[in-house]
Amino acid sequence: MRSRWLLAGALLAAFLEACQSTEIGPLGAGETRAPDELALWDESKEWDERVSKSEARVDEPALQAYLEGVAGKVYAGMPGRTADEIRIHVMRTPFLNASASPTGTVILHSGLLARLEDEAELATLLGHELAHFVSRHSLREKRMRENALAKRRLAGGLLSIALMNPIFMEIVGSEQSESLERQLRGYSRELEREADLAGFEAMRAAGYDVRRSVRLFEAVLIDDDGAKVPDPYYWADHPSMEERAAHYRELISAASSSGGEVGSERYAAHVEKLIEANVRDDLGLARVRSSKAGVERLLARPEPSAEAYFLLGDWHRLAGDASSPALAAEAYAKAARLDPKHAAAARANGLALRGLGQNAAAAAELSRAIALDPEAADRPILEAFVRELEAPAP
Amino acid sequence: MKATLALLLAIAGPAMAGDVFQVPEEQVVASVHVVALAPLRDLTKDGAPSAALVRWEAVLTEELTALGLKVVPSTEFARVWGALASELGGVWDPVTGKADAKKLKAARQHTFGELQRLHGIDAVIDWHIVESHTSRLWSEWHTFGKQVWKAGDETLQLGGAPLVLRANQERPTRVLVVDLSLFLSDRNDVTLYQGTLEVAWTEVRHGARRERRPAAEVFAPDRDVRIRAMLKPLREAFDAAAGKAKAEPSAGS
Repeated sequence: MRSRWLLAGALLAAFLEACQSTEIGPLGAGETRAPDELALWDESKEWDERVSKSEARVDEPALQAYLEGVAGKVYAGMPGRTADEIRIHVMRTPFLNASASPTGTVILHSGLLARLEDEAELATLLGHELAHFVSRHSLREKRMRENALAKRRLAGGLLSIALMNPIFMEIVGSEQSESLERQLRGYSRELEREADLAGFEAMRAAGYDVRRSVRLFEAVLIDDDGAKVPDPYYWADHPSMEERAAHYRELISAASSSGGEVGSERYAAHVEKLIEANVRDDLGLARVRSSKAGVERLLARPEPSAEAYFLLGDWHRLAGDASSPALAAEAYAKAARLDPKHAAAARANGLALRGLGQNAAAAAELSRAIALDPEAADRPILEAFVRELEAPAP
Repeated sequence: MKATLALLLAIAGPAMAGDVFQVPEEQVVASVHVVALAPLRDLTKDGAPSAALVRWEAVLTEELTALGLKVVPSTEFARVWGALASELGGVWDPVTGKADAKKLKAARQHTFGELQRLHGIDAVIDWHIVESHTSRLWSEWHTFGKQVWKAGDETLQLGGAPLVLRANQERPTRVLVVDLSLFLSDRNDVTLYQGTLEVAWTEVRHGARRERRPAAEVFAPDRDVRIRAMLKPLREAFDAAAGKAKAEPSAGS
């Protein structure tokens, strides 16, 4: 009996030794970095290095400078910030996600940026992600996870001792148990809420219209294409978007602010090319609703580009309803008129006209496409089509 | 009796796993009405009997037609593809056998476009069979052995006598199987639906020996059921949509 008490005492001592403090101050608190945080930083630096070399990284200096400028404004209003440089990387993926590393690298997915409507929403997103960084959430989450595991191992050990059956040690101490996963999601929820609050305050301090902040979550909620098909980066790990939108509405109501910067036009001008690329990616994944939303954004610009109409044509072909061929042809024709050097538009227009039986116009457009892109891999096929279209009717 | 048992056991297969729909299934039901079949590509070592390939296309056509789809036969796909590929001077390098990626993409896109113009297709079905190694657990009953699909004992009713096959998890083994894969793709070559199923093992074990099964056995008509199994989730999606349409009659009806 005595030996059981000794064993239980030893387990408890090991547990206390294993538990680490989760009372972690913000970055600028002047606290010495513990070895586990330094290890986290090392890992993070390696990851940052890989991200910066990734082929999926969008390399557009003007967009980069703009995003860093907005991030800098938001970061300046954060308590606990340090002189550490923050870095922003845009990754070309049509899914909706953003993240921040322990060392201050913020990753923004093009799919999410394409959904935002203005700079105030962007500031909300950046504020949220930078709050994770400043508040050292990755370290807190790591410690909470390890402490939770230690608690479970203690419980398993005590049960095994009490019942003289080692099986409890295996069952309760399992690192992969589902209940532990649930517990972790709960902690994450708490941290997300904390980051929401800090991010909200930072975007307000930067002078943005806080009433726009809630739309960030509403934008995610309308990801209809992502709802049914597994999305590896979907914000499903976060508290439900409805809940977070409700939290933001509370914050907005409490702030009782009625003004501030929105920056719709500035934002739209900077992300136009990114939205075009994102529509192409969405079309490439047959995401009908997402690609339509993107095309509508492009067409809502004061002077829509030829590429916007070209993508509208592609979207009509993807939608595949009865009126699609005629609507696609109309959109391609508009794109070809707006930019007479747009080879893909001329080619698509020619093929669409051929499908509609407008042979003379189709032959002219296809000939123009060949002249604009003489090196195209399908040139022989286009030439054969032109010959066929120009041949006298039998 | 042993031979019959061996055959019966050797053709037992697993359920199809993984996500078959690559886009929301409602989108597939709403957007796919006419499909073109590409010819079945036979990549097996000895080649499948041509009668089996013809039969499989008939089964696939029958299944798709039952969903309410119009099916353009593979001969038409082959005709259009052949004409376009020849305009490009061939897609495959005659020496290396490798495809020219740009030409292949162009031929593929224009084949879709032509079949759409001529037949109004919304999607293409590409399918192929290939032989591959699959890890299985080895199970034994007296002198008779079989590979089983999962761990655990299995009871089989044969001629009224139950046989209990005990799985030996310590002896995983690898067997050759014919896999049938099917991809339903849209005009951008985006996969909308996909499935892969093991049709049959191409070898059986007798004690320590492995014997190659005759093609007539591997591609026997009772294997046609695999095509139907592969299309089951698609059938369920179309049935669900039809049920929903019945439950919500239009205002005019």
